[in-house]
Amino acid sequence: MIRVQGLSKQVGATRILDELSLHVAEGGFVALLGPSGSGKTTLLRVIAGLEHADAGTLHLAGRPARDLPPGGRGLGFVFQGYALFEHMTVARNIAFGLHVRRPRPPRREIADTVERMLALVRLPGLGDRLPSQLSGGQRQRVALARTLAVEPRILLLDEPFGALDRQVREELRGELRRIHDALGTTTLFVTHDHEEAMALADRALMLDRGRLVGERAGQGRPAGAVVAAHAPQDRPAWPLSPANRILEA
Amino acid sequence: MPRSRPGLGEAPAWRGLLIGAALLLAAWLLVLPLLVLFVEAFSGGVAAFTAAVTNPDAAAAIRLTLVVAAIVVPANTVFGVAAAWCITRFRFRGRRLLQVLVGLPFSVSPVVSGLVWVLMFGAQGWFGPLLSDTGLRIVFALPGIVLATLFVTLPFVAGQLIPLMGAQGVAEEEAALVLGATGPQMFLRVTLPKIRWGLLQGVLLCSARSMGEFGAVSVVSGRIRGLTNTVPLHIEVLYQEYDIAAAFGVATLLAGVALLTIVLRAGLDLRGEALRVRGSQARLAVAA
Amino acid sequence: MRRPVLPGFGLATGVTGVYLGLLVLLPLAGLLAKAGTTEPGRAWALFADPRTLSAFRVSFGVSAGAALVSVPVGLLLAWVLERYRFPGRRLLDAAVDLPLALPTAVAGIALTTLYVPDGWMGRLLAPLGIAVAFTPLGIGVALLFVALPFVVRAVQPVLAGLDPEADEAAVILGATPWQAFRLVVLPPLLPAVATGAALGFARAVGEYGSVIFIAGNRPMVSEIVPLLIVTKLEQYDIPGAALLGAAMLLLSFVLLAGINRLQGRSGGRHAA
Repeated sequence: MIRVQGLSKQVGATRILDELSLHVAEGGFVALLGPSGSGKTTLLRVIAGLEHADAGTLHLAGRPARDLPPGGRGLGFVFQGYALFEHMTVARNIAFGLHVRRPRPPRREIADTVERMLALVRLPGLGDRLPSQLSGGQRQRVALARTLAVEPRILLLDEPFGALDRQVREELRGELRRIHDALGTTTLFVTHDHEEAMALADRALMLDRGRLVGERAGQGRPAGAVVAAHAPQDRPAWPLSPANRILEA
Repeated sequence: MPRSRPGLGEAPAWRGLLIGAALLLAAWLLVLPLLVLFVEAFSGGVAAFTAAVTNPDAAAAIRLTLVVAAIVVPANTVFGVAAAWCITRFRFRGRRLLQVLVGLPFSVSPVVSGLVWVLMFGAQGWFGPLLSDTGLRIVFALPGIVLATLFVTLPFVAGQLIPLMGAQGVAEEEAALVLGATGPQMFLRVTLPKIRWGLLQGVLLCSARSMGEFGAVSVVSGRIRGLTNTVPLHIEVLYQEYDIAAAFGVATLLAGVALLTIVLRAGLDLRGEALRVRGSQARLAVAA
Repeated sequence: MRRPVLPGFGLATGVTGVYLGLLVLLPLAGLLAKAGTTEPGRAWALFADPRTLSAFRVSFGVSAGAALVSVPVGLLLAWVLERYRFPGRRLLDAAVDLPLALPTAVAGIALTTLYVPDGWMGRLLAPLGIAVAFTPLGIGVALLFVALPFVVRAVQPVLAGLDPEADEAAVILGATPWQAFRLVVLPPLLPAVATGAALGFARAVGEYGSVIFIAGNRPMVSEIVPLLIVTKLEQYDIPGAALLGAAMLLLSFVLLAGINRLQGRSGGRHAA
């Protein structure tokens, strides 16, 4: 679903992405781990079209995506800082992606979608609030609902729970996994929290200095799932899976 | 262009177009008037320019303008520091009123800023009869020009310092006091260094405006050549007498002061400190 | 009252209070008192005089026009300055300060020289039948110069404080650049735009130096209120000048109150 090959990006003298290759299968739930400055966020932003790489290819759903505008890639992006539109109500935030679509869906349909999304992220009845009236956890739920309202096939999340306290974080993790399983999206999320990565994802990739340096199976999905084919069990190190080893070569 | 963020995803052609339009508009609306000023000033050659700015009337106007600035700027600087200190460091009844009064001269028409002094000290003013008994002249003399300029430039230093000191807080001053500093020591060693760049900006703006003020001063001055003509008034006289090159020659002096102010402020902005006050600057109607 | 730990309360407040009392409160009160003690008949005659009415019409109408034009131009300048990096950007930023720094009389004679029929701009406009100098349009040109920096400087910090990720979110959700600007960027800027326009208007209404040279100052056509005040003074019509001055002063109070309310809205969200 997401296939990245030989991606390189340099800013000044620093290599942020260094011939990075990776593959996320359809329906996969993959965590990107790594120290700060390892290129996790940049990778995510390049996939979303928010930044451009100097070299390499990017395929989304089998099609070359390098030159597609961010809005034409069929993906959703959840920012660490939520990036809610502060002057719009929660409902208007969630409706935004549908509202700007041409031709615009009928009003009734947009309203239905908003209600559905509010229910999905468990915030029913809060549509008329302003973002400033919500807690951090609620804001992140709205951001998620806004992203999901346009039915993206791919969901990218940049440290989505980084700014939340532990209890809310754990609650939202469960929600994210539940929504992922329910909608069948392909999800790639950045985190610096090993525990979170292992608990949530079915695969965790380790980045360092712009390169993929290892990967591990997570507990997000029991054996038998799509990715289990090349997700080795119980290895203490972080060896690359055969699929990614081929890509790296 | 070293810009990796896509912004709103607008095409590079659009960015170019918008930048081009902005530069064109700025060149037309802002820079062209400045350009014509310098071209006209030297239209009669350098000798004519020199003659215009060294003419005895011009010299008298320059002297008067400098005298006014030398009185007004220190006075409003001391006031500005005092006002900022009492408004940002204490809560008391009447504080809001003081704050409003500090900003008020910004919103008053220059002509009204001069008129109020005529109504105080002019022949038909409230204190007019009293003054004519003592023979003291205020309106149509130096004191009136000073009063009008004081009024107009009163908000500049305070307007820079109030937002700055409000944002800085009092922790360092309190630390100094706890460590045994006296009031003056605390002020000189802690407060003054903290506010120096904002203070400098305020002093700059105050100086430039005190030399360039026209409307208020023209109402109280009486325009007596060689006596109560400041530089801006002298420019008007020359212009009305169709001595255009001389008018522009003298005007370049003030334009030079203005440009210097802008350059110095840009330099101070680079020091970073001032950027934080930007918002509040706009609020207090920025400069001159 | 906060615990008065810090020294200098008495000194600073005393200096400030006396200074403001003598230099601001007393003269402004003197003006209002002078206007208030004029016989009502005289005041009525003044404010019903067609020349007075025309001056107010010109001052307010042209100032409002200049403030309106300063909105799109100011937005464009603020946008370009905050969002793009290009050669000459710092110079452009500095140029915005020109109208604030240049003495009004200097700006006045420069603008007049540009727009008289044989001036640089006048020569271009004359064949089109557009006369700028010595017409209300000339007043508009001068007032636009005066009002322009206010929208730019009011919008800039708010624009800089907007979350760039909100723009990116809009773009990923499929908004076109224009939709993203109109729906996401512009609404939070509006209070600042209104503040800037109001500040520009307030400044323009009282403006004197940069207008009188280019206006031509024909009664009933291109005479502004501040000039009318000066004319009354020169005719020793002190009560008339006081009445007009008081009217202008009360007007600035009203504008100031309005601007303060606007700023409460534009500053509130971004203060933190």
